[in-house]
Amino acid sequence: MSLKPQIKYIAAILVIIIAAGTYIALNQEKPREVVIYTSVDQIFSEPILDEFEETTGIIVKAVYDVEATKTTGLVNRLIAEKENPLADVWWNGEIAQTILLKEEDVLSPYSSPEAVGIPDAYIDPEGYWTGFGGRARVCLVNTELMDPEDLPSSIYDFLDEKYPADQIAIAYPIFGTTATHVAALYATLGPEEASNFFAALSMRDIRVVDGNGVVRDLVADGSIMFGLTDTDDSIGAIERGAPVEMVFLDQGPDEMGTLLIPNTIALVKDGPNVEEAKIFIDYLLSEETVGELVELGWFQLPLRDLEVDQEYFDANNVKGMTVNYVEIYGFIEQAKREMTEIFVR
Amino acid sequence: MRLKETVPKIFIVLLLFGPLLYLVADAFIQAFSETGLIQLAFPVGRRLNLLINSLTLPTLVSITVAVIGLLAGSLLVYEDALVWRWIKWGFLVTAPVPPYIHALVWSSTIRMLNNLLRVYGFSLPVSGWFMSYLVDTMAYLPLGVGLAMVGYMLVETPAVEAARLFKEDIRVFMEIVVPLASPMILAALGFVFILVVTDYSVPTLYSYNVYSLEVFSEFSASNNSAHSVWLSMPIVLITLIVLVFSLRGLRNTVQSSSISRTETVSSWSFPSWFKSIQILAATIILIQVIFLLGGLLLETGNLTSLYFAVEAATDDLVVSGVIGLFGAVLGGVLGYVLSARLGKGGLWWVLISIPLALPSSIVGIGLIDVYSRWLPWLYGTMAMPILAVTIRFVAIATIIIYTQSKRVDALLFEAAELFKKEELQALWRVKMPLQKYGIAAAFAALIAFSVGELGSTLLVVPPGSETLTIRIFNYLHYGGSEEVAGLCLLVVVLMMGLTGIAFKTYIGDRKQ
Repeated sequence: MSLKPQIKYIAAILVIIIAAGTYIALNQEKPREVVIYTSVDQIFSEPILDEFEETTGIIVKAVYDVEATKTTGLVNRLIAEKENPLADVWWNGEIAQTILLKEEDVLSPYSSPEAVGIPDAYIDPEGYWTGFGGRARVCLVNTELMDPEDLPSSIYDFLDEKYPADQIAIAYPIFGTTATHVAALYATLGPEEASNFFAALSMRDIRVVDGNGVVRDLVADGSIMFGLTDTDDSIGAIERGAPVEMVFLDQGPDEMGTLLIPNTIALVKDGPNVEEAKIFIDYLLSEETVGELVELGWFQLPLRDLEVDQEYFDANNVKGMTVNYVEIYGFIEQAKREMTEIFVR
Repeated sequence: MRLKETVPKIFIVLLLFGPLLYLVADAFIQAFSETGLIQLAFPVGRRLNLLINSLTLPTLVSITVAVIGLLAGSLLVYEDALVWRWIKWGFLVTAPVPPYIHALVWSSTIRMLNNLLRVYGFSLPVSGWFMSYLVDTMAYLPLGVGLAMVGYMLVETPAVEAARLFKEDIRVFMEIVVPLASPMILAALGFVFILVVTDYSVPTLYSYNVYSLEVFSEFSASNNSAHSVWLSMPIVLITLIVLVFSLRGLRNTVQSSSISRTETVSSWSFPSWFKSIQILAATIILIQVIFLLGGLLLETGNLTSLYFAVEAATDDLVVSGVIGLFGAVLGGVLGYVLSARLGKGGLWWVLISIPLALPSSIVGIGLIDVYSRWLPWLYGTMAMPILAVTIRFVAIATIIIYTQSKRVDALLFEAAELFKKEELQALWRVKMPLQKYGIAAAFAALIAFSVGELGSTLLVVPPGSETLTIRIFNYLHYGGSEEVAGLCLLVVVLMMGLTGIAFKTYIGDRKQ
């Protein structure tokens, strides 16, 4: 009996608390946030995202991809989520997967005012993605195992018998930038010649390893003479003091050049924070951020006329392959299937 | 009454297997429109060769782990010498360290060893089959030996002591103890086989091509999960066969009636040759722990590196802890419920085989397809990675608990059912105490696998959150070996904490 008044008080207090809580929740301004999915190495992208958060006050919620899933994890997540997307922005360390996302209707067009000066080849004609600085494919050589006059100069040197097959490595050509490189060779040389080239590599029994990072490590620790990898991986080895040197392949006047791999940024269709996403895209494409990414070691090629210090090589003198990235994308599936047939057995 | 039983069953099936059933259904629907899709399930030519080649590695790794478990497990359970008492359960802390990290440590170790061996004109292979075998064996030793130890702990002590009166110890051990402990050892063999046959990360690191790489590369080329589901069918079938085969002996085992055994058979008098191979097997475990932790400590370098690694990953530590703990609780509870179903029909065996056999990224895609579409309020929350690890590893918990429950006298369960005052009383006061070793082992295995999971967690982790394992793999690619080593040590500490809490809470509580 004596509990009844107390119950009334407790009930009244509860009602007041719930009402106050509801009022506060309804009137409280939702903090501004943006959700970024990125395949760029966390070590490089995280400082940029932190800085954006500090500069704009917009909270960044990031999801990072990993090499162990062959950087296909987030692309598949974006495709699977497209009916109810969580992401606002896709920041990709390469380009082919971004074109795939456009084809899969995951992206929305956005032309950033900060993209001024970026050549047309790196911007989607319909504005679905923007390429903005990147890396290049490179042959990393161990300078203790090779004389300067013996260094390879062409991709075809990988077939030269003067270099022992077990001293040469490439990453599995079915994943990541190596797969894109294969597709680029399909586009440039024609599918038959490119496929024959890789079949010959397989016949030579060169080392095919888990990723570009493994190629870098094998060259750096002297297990092999040289291997095909990316400039960012190579610079990591140089900065750690390994006896290595980068050689850009096929740079002669009649040669095809090496593959340049731009980063790409895109707005996710129907993402929950469109305005914040556009602010982020503008921030990332700004000259200051691109300069910072060069300094961090993620970019080696600003892909536009920018005053940035690049201490490891002269970016202006690197001859890139003349390719259309959409055409490269068109060869990706065929190239991956054929490379699986050739190398996974 | 019927409804009361059916509704929870449907709920469990939808919760755990809904995403996978959706994927399988989608694969069948696509097969109607895409001719040739079904052919992927029947490997021929290159794929058949690859599949056959792929079976060698898991077969030998699982047999090695089971043999070491059989020998070392008996020493660790029965021997009371100080050195073995210290590592008795201590080696389990290395269980959640992903195989990929074992690979890093063993690659460096073999390279160093080769520098010494080259003086004598000899060296060990640094790639190919040998390294894959070494790394996988070392990575799955904690699971195999841990389960073997649980098996030995369940052996009926009075029966063994009685037999020892009439026969020499080695014969009692071989003819009575090993057969009684064998269900757990065979379960370990089955798990290790399945975990190795479905993994491509370690073999590809050493340029050893396996069928699971084919499944993943097809997914990478087509971005279509239906292709991977069809390609995975041979692996699903093999998984099912291995599970059934490795647990076939359960029905024939003698049942135990003991409730809570603290004493074990002691003072075995084995011949010296047997004792030597027991010590050799236990030394391999010791080597595994010392090389892994020592390698990580050396690589971390100094306390400053460790401090920075920990500071950068504090939030990730919390996320991993939450996923590990809640995944283990949910997986443990559902595993307990499912273990009672396993004896009732083949369909349940098929259901639990699928999440074990499918690539982890495909499980993640199934979760997104179902939950983002039909339960969007749940999608994007921390519940998703917890569900992901639960779905992936509930089969392991289920089988561990089922294996142990088969060793318990069914009469005790029936008596509890008969005399219980409330529904939960029989469960809490009789059934669970009888199965406490199985539940504790399942819990520890779930924590270890949940903390180390990558493929499906990455696909469903809420934006802004990250697990320690995701961060480790990110640093791994960059080549930040100090950070990787520091974070791995952190995983080991997390594992020690979570398992310690779990064992203390559960076993300590039960003893009271």
